[in-house]
Amino acid sequence: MNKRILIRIGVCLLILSALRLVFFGPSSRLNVIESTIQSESQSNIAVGLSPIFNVNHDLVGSVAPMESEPPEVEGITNTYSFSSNHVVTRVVIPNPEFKIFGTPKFESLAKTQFESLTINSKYIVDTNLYELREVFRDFPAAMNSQFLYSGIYQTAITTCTLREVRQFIFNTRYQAMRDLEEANTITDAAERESKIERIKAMSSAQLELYESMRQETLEDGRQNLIKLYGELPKPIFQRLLGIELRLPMGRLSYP
Amino acid sequence: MLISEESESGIITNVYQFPSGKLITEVVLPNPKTPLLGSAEYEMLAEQDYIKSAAVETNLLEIKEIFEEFPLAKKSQYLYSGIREAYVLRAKIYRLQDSGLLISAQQDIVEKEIWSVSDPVKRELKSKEVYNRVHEEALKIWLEMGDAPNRFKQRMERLYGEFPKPIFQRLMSIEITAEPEELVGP
Repeated sequence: MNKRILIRIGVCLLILSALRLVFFGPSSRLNVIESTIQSESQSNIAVGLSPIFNVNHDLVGSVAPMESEPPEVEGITNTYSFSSNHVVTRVVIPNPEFKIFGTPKFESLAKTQFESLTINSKYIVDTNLYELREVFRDFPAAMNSQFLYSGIYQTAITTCTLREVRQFIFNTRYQAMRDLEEANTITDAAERESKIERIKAMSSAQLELYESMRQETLEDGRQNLIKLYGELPKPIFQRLLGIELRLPMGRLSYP
Repeated sequence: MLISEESESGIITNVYQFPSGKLITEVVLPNPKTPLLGSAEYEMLAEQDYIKSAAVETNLLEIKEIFEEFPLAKKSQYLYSGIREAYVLRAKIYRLQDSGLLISAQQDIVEKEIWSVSDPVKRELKSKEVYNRVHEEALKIWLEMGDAPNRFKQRMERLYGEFPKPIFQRLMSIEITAEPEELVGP
């Protein structure tokens, strides 16, 4: 009987995971970032937040040595300073295929990936991929370029990252709500107030950080599309962002 | 499946059909103090609400910019009515996303609820009940997420005669986190 209950709980969890996938897709690279922020920030009161150092988000990125990675790993480092003097460093490791972003090779890989998810797909096709292509068709600079599918791939990365950041924002608010509930049960008034202040400050700083990540994601996506096409009218960018893919396009098969 | 209908008087009837065979009918009665979309009174209240809300929710300026680039809306007497509808839609989508994420985040609470029942027979019944509840809640959110943009498009077509896809796509990129206040006449 317990086995059946376990199976049912399993099914329940599957639904929950599917729901998470439907609304926000799978989290991948940014999970690392989130946990880093949380673990680094746990013991500090963080009240305000401002980026103090932002390495240029070039295609290759700047070299940023990390403790857990070999020194030759390339990454983009953003360092944020909290008003409590607490510092959060965020290292984003770009996917290696982005070294060739804006080249015919990248375009060919992006096109293959697009076709594997559409005309060559064995599974249900996300028709929003075609919607993305339709929007690019209304953008002459993209159609006249040789990089239509690179733009589609870049857009998919931007929207999926935005969705992940959105999930982090929700998680932060939800965690803060639960922590506050717990803090409210503390009987000692001074301890309770101090704990509540810490929770509020921490979640507020995290939310600010995620908002800045959101802005960076938008700006990086915009800049990469401008690199491809020389320009990007605001209405086109808005239309692209308005199309939600159910799943990320996946990694390109770059060696 | 969700069958949703809106009457001329603004009454919305939602019929949810779940795979379990369960049928839920939801009737949403409009606030009698809220004027009907397409009336001069609605437009006036929508403009007042825009002026008040744009100070807090700055993305409303983006929504206005999009509507101003839509000639039919700009020339009509109902520019702010459209802005208001888009504001409500984007806020609703944000709230529905939150509801979906909340179900996902509460999986530990769901497990606790099941395992709090010590009797194995009752626990099995409880797990079944919880499974059905979670499944229905998730499905209802998913159906509403699908229905809300369609309802919005219908209302925009009613208001302006047509509603171009590019305008709709642009509006769907605007994030609204604020909770719109009800439009209520004096």
